[in-house]
Amino acid sequence: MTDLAFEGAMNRLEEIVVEIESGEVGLDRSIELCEEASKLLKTLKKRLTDAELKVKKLTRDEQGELKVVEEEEEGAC
Amino acid sequence: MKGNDERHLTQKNGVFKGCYLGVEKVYRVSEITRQLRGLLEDAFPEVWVLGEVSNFKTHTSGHIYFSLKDEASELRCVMFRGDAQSLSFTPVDGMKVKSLGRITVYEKRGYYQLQVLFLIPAGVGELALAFEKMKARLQAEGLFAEEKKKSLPPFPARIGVVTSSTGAALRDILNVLRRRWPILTVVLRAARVQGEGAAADIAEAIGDLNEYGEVDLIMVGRGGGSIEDLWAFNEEVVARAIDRSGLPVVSAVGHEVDYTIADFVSDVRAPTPSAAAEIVVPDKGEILSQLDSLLTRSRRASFARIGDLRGRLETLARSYGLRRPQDLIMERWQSLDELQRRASTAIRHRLDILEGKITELEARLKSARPEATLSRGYCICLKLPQNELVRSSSLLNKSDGVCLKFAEGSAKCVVEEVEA
Repeated sequence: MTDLAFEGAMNRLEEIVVEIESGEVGLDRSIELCEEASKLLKTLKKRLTDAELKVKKLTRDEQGELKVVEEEEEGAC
Repeated sequence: MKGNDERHLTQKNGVFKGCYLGVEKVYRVSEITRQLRGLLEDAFPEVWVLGEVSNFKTHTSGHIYFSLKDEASELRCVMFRGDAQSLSFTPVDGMKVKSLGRITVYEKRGYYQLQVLFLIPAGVGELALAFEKMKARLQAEGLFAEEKKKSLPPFPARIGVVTSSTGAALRDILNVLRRRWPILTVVLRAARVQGEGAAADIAEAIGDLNEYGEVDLIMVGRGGGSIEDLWAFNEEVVARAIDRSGLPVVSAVGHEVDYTIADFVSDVRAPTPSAAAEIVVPDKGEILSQLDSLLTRSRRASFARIGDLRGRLETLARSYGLRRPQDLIMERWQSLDELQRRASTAIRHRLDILEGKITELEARLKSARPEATLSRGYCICLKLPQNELVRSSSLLNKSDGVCLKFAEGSAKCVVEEVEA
């Protein structure tokens, strides 16, 4: 369960750049690709800039079942 | 009341009896400590002790503090500056040494210690030996094999952490993760990391995170400490748990110089918890600048594309193919001009001919004029009053007026007689 969205978007960006650089796409298509790249970049940057680390705690309940509880902000420290 | 108490205590526990009655001396803490000190110092004025060095520290004063230990016990040691200066080697934790000294009591804290006068190395310590033995065994079993090492995901979304919930390690890890890659969920499985039961707890925690499954990798660690503090990470149960883990495990045990068995079994070994956090996630700043460079590349590529197309367009515009229609038009113009030229030449020629003819006709006409005939002696007869040309006498009757025109002058006459 890695960050497929992020990884995928990074890979897609690489693809786009390589495709445009190859010169094998038409002008309209390369402009489209450029727009797609800008959008992806914007999303990724926003994710990175807005993100806040979440901390959860893995414990077991009375029945011995695993459960995850949200941690209060830096409660663990 | 007093009697009851006394009886009760006496019945309950004889030891209290003398005390209570004040028969024996009651010591102050410092008194008993001093007496013990005298006893110990007299009993062990000079002893050799064999043990493994741990918690070795040189104080700024120049005095050295450490412990000697074996499997069962630990003995505090102090080596004062004067004696420490004569050391021929630098003791390190885990080193087995023989030390000569005397037992004293540190009265302030009430503990006994070995005041070391002389220290010599005594080969590999037993703990270290045990460590090496287990390491060799697990290595032979293939627990450290390179090909078993799992690679870390480049962009983890959830990270499992096994450490103390109160330790500096967790704080360090969270700080680094927050700074480098905040798009993360950290799942902490708190575990004891030193002392009794720590190894079992760590092993269970690794199992729990695997069972939970919703993490991309597991960091296992604690901050730096003595070799004893870190010992849980040398225990087989931890090594086995790491080996069993389906998720990649990063060891994050403090103290760069110390290797633990956990370090060898883990898929990735980091020297400290902070370093582990640095390893497992990309750096936000780096990724942001990578994103920028991708944007620059894609822009540059499409500008290049546009430039390229423009170039081709210009080449095409200059090409023969596209110039052809223009040429055709020019050719038409040219042939039109030529036709015009030919037409006007032809017309001119024709006119010249006509002109010639006219001149000729004019000449002929001139020669055909009546005046020319008249000048040869002929005359023209015109019947009056209409000036009708008379070509035959039959037109005339007696007494008709006629006009005779000569080459020079004319005469009006009257017909006297008509002859056929």
